[in-house]
Amino acid sequence: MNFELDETQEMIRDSVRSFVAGRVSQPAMKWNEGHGDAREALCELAGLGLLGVLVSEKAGGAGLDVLTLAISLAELARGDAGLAAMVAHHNAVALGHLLAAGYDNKPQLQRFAQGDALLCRAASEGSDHLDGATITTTATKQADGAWSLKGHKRLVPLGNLASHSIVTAMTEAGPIALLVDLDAAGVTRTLSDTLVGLRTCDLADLTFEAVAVPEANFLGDAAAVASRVAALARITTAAIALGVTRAALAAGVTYSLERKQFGKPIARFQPIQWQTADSATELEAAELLTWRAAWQLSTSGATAHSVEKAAIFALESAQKVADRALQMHGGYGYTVDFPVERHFRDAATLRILADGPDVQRVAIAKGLATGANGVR
Amino acid sequence: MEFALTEIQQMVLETARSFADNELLPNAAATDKTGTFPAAAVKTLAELGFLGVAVDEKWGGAGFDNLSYAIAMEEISRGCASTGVIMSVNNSLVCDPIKKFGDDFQKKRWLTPLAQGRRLGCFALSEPGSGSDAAGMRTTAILDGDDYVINGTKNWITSGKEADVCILIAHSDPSERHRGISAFIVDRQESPYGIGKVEDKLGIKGSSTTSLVFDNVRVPAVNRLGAEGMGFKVAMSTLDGGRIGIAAQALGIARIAFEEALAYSRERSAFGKIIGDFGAIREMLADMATEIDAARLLIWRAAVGKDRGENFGKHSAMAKLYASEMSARVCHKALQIHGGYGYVKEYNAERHVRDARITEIYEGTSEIQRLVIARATQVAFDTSQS
Repeated sequence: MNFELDETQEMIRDSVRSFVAGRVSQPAMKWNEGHGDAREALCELAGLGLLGVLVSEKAGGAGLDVLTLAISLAELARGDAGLAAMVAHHNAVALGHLLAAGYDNKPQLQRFAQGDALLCRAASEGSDHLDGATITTTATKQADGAWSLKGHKRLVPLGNLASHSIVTAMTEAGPIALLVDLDAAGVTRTLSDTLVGLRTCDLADLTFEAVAVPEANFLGDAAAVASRVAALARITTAAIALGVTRAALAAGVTYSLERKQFGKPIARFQPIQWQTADSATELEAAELLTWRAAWQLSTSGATAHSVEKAAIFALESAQKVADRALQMHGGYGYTVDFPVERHFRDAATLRILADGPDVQRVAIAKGLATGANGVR
Repeated sequence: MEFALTEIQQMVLETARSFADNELLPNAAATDKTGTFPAAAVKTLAELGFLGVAVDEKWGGAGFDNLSYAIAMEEISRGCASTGVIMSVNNSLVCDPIKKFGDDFQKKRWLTPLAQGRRLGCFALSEPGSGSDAAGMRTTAILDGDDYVINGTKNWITSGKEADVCILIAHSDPSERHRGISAFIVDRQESPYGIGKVEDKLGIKGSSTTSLVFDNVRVPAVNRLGAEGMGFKVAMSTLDGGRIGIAAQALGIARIAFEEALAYSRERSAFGKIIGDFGAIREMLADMATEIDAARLLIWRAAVGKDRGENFGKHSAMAKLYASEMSARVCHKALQIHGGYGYVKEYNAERHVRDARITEIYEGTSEIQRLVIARATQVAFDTSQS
């Protein structure tokens, strides 16, 4: 048992921290208000090796583990959770799927891993997406061996910026995944609805109208990699939530030390101290659960639903901590002049990613019902 | 970062669990009902080295680390919460301060028999009129020749009836507050003191809780633990460690409550299906499992911090606060899952609710833990003080 970062993890955390201080903290407010986008920041993150974290060095990536990715994302999310969401999607969900599917086109993999091109994954269709059997997007094998893809995908992160998307589709034999060039004929990208939070994150709806996908881009059975991709999505969402939680805690405590009422800083009043203690404790627990699950995913594989436990705890404590921090700010917390309202919105939005805590509770409960010892 | 247990830690876990399964769980309800001290269990704890888990072998202990101690405490308390607190007090509140502040004479004379379980210890800080505000204590220890003369009453002393070695905190200089406090090892055979009221409690009924009455009790000056005036520091540092033990006790209680509720939810049917398959029960069970894991990691974080010689006070306060409140929530839900059966003594659910409740109170109330955590957190952000 050891809770210290190793040298590589510490080095990467520090480099992300200084990147956030220099290149994210200031523009984050503007990105969130829709002025300019974070494209340039994404390019610079590629330079730090953060767009191919899980890809082996041989294939042009950083060759690091899930835990190191989670640590980086938590740090990045302290500056901007929407930016972190894009980085998480590219690394864990999209590249994570590609790696799990055994994709071996080295030059293409290298382009994604080095950030020369961004990759997204389009799975959700806006209704019934928790029920994998009801994918309405279809892929039909053509005479020349290529696939013809038809359907509509909603709220795809990086949908506008990515060059390619992994798309899940139904065939007669079951759900498959295809790697689709988003500049191909028949693809339409539409800017998605604006979300309440994570506004820096690029989102698009993707429509595929008889899009021809070469046979070489067939990624196999989508169900076979679903649990690995879901685990990566959940653990990275939890990591982003940690960053939001830490940012919100810092905002609340810093404000409470400055703001005076009745002749003393409000930080000296017990109701404020109580909330501070609860927030600090919940953050600590959320971090430990997240690091442990990420460590398990990096080594032997997650056990006893540790990923779902981390996600539930991290997502729900982010919202509680952000809510307390906003409340500590009084009326100022409700204005865009302070970053706490953004943390509050980001926390609320994170809860709907990666299926959300309610679905994860069902996963844990199902494991318990089948005799898994859920707690030891 | 890595989250694996060592072979020794794994062995401690398995030893403790099998003892709990075989000897504690079958007797826990009777121990609660009769309110009798679990003497046989405490004897076995001694044989297993669990009364001095983190004491060096040189001084008669098992020589394991504090993480092993936390692991053992969880398993033992899962078996019997009363046995858990007796173990926690002897390890954390008695052996630990002698190990940290005692001289070799004191270690040889008291630490060794305490760690071996040949003697049993208690810790006397609180008084009828002072608990969280420890410096408000009234008990005095006035130097007279080669002895200190002790006068006063201590309250809420776990194992007060059975223990024969007492770590006593008292004012050696009543004109000062914190700085006038000293710590002593009071040997009941050498310096007989009185046992006052034996409390009738809501839970942990197998452990005694008494007051100790000191009426001109003479204690040799060589029994003073640490320098004169250092007693408040001894007490606070001891409680930092004690919180790990009580947090682990709370966790063990939550575990057994959860396990029994899960089993009940798979047996009981309503509306034609097993109640464990209803969304409402599933949600409770999933939350219980999640919070149990969170508490364990906070406890292990604090224990590893202690093993590494870090300043672990904030982490042990977090572990104690979270684990105790978690345990109360989990036991409450576990009782609820049992419905009416949860409210009767035919099942154990009501006992777990009663046992868990104390963990939010003793060795620093939740309010004190929040104060400790808030101060540490605020200081970290306070640029005006750096």
